[in-house]
Amino acid sequence: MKQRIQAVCGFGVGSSMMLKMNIEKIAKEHGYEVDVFCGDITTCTANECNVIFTSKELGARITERAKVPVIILNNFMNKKEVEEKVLAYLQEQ
Amino acid sequence: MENISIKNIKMNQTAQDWQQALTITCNVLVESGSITNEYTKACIDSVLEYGPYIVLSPGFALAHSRPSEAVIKSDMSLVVFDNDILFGSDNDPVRVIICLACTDNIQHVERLSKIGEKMFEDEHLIEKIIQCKTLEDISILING
Repeated sequence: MKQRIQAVCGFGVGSSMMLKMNIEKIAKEHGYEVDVFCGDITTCTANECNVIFTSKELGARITERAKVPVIILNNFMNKKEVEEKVLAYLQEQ
Repeated sequence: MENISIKNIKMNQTAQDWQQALTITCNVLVESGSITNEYTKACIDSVLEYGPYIVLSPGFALAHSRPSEAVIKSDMSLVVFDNDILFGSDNDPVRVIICLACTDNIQHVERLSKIGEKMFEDEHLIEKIIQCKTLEDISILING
């Protein structure tokens, strides 16, 4: 099944956009077909998705109310960390 | 098209704290007529409310808020600070701040994604920007 991945930041337009691109890039490089979209901290738990990727600060606010796994990234722009965590998730599915 | 126009790049700035650093970075866009001071306030408020999540990677923060009437046109500025700016993030200290202002969820995406791609592919890009001696050199790294 094609995974629907939500990248979350405060408003869904800046940092989550950068994270979305990086997740898409890793997925593509490793041959996974995924659907990545941006969400904001206020409404993200109401959006349908299989998993949420976000920062440490925002993750702490949504982990409790999220119905899907919340994966924390310390450095949105670090290829190694994004690759490691995205692949670890995708390989489990 | 340039990702960040050279007139929106500043270097050798100093700030006493992260609020002042965000204000300096936002003020570049106030001076270009792209945002009003309300947007600066919104960028600061979002850190006060949600924490320093805008510090996306070591040394780098992406100041932004939601599209609103405080944004006159989609635009970006980049400021390099001579001193360490502390946000209380694991990725402190920050030396480079980009302010992103957008009128909608679409217009800025191409330029932002080009910068993002450069950072993602070169983990030393921020260090290289800090080492630059001229605005032209920074512009080449960001726009080249």
